[in-house]
Amino acid sequence: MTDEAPSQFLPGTKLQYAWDSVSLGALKDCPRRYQYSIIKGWRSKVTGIDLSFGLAYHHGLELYDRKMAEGLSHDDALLFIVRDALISTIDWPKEEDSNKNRSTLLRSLIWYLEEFKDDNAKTVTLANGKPAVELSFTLPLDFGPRANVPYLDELGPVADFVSSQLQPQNYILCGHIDRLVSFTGEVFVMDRKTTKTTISPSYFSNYDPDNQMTLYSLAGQIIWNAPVKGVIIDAAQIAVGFTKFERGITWRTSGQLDEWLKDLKYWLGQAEQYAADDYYPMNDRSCRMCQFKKICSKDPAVRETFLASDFDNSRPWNPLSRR
Amino acid sequence: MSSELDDVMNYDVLELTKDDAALLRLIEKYRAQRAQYKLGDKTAGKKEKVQLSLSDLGDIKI
Repeated sequence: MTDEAPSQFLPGTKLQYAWDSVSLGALKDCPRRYQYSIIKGWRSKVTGIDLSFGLAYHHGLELYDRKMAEGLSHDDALLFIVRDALISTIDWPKEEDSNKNRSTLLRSLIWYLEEFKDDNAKTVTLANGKPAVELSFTLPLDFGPRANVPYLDELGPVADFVSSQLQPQNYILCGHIDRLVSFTGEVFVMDRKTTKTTISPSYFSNYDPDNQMTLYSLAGQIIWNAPVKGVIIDAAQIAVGFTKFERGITWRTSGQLDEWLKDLKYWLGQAEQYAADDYYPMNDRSCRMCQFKKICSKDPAVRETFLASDFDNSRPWNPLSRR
Repeated sequence: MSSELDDVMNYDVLELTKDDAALLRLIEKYRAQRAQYKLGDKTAGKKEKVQLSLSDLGDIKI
């Protein structure tokens, strides 16, 4: 992440206009989690091995895709990413985790690329002649924040005009996708995931419906300028003694994408309301896997103290940061 | 006692990364692990199974 990216908030407000799957997911999970992680920018001081491993695995495969797109052979691209992985993980703690560590990272990268060396999913070429790998997207919506314009709904037919004059900044959906592939004659977004648990059919059903995968499907359509069918998920089970791969597809119809965009308008309206009230209620049905659980379990009077102790807000999440 | 792979990966990894031949041997070790796994050995990918000897490293000084 760089510090040069513009703010995702409208100037002088906490009204977010640029949204990615992380910030939108936080909002949908729990307004309080959204407040802590996005509005206030708190991030855990301890970067867990799950996150570090996932980033390194993702980066390695992305680098491989790029090197292959540049014309390198499989063996040369593999050599390149193994070297890169060794160097970039040199400061990883030794034996922190029996499943996810440097050795299992190398193993997983090499085994994945052996498994899919002759993959039927092929990177597509974009209209500009470039391979569709490492794609950043920005999708402007046809509406913007309305909360700063009271009574806008009562203005009737001129509401849109007034809104466009007062709120020139429309909402933006943004993010990054790994690549677009052609598979069995259809185009899909491809995404990779890692997990320590056995990958069962229910693993893939967890992504249908899913905020991130639907946004990726939408983004794929914008980049490809034609319908994409959904997201291919290559999941890797990182066990102590092996890495096992399973491929699943989560499909999206145009009706589902339209519904998601319709729902989005309500979610963003809700975010505007939270910002106007400067209050983000806790959804206490979403606490189980939340990093802020230990904060929310404290008395409200002491939460800020514990946040400042256990979290860091010097590098807040910004969807507009470039990779 | 740490395995030989640990020694390689932690002691002088930057030297290792400069040597394509040594890296290729490392890759081959992991490929061999995978072949074992495909034969049904569910522990094939354990780090201890990778026996990277000093002679594998060619000219690298460790």
